[in-house]
Amino acid sequence: MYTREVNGKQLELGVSGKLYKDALVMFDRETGTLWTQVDGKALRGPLLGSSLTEVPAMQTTWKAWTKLHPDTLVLRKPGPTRGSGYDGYFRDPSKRGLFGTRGDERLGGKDKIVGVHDASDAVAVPQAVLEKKSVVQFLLAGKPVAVMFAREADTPGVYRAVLEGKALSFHARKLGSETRIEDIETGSAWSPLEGKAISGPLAGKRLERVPYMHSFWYAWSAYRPATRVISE
Amino acid sequence: MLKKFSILVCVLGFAFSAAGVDGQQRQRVEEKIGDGTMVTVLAPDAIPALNQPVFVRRQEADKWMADGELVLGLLDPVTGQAKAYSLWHLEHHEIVNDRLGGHPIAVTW
Repeated sequence: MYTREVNGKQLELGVSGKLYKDALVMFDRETGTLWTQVDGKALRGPLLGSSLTEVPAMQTTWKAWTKLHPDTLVLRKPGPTRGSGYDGYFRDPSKRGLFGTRGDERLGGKDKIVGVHDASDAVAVPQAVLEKKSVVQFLLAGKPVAVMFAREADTPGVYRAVLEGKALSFHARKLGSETRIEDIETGSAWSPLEGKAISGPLAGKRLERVPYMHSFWYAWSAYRPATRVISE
Repeated sequence: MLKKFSILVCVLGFAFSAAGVDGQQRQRVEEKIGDGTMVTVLAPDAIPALNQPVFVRRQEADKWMADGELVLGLLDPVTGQAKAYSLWHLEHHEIVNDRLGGHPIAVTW
């Protein structure tokens, strides 16, 4: 996402059909300069030395976005898809990668994941792993994070695994047909949907929420190629 | 003498066609720029960027947008208007030339 303006001059960008380091290269119609999509820098042409300014955007689900912005506008979809000879060649999200190159194959492209990141680190928890374990814990840039699964709502809850300065370690305990998420330190039970202790010595206390994405692996890994993946 | 000459011509002809001198593109063109390589896979605009995008209200879009469908969401810094672009569009067009806060932007993914 970039502004397409350089030195006050507006540019119209197009798809050049080229890849640089396996990523999309754009071109502007005004000067023919080639631009990398990954970092918005001019690669070749009259505007070499210039950069496009990045515009912050949020990638999330329609449901999550409309919850945050109920009055949002959205790009209209056309009728039947345009028929290009390249439709099949490029568009296979299960093998996501631009122009037929293979995407990150650690997981299937359409595997759902819970993705958590900060400036220097990114971790993906496959939904299948989360559903099986009910709670997964790891360090994100050195800080403890717990991803819990609220089975009845089919929703993850992602929290800092720290309470009042003390780290907590979470695990899942099966009680008959139910699975309880407890901390090892006090044995308190936690609501995965609210991040709140519902019984035990810490009852009533809340964990701090951590922003996350619930998306397909192909989308997450395209943005965060250095992501770690939590396995079983 | 003639036989040797014809063999030579055949060999040279083969060598030239393999290198693409006969005008046919046999292999992807590669170019080193900086610390990376640029390859040409398609002609420009083989994948058409989307210009003059049209937006609809959320209520109408709810009929054909799926809950779990991925979107890129933006907030107009001037008007506070939220705008979303389905990744479906970005997969088909790669680039949407749009405007935000009075400035031209390119929505890419």
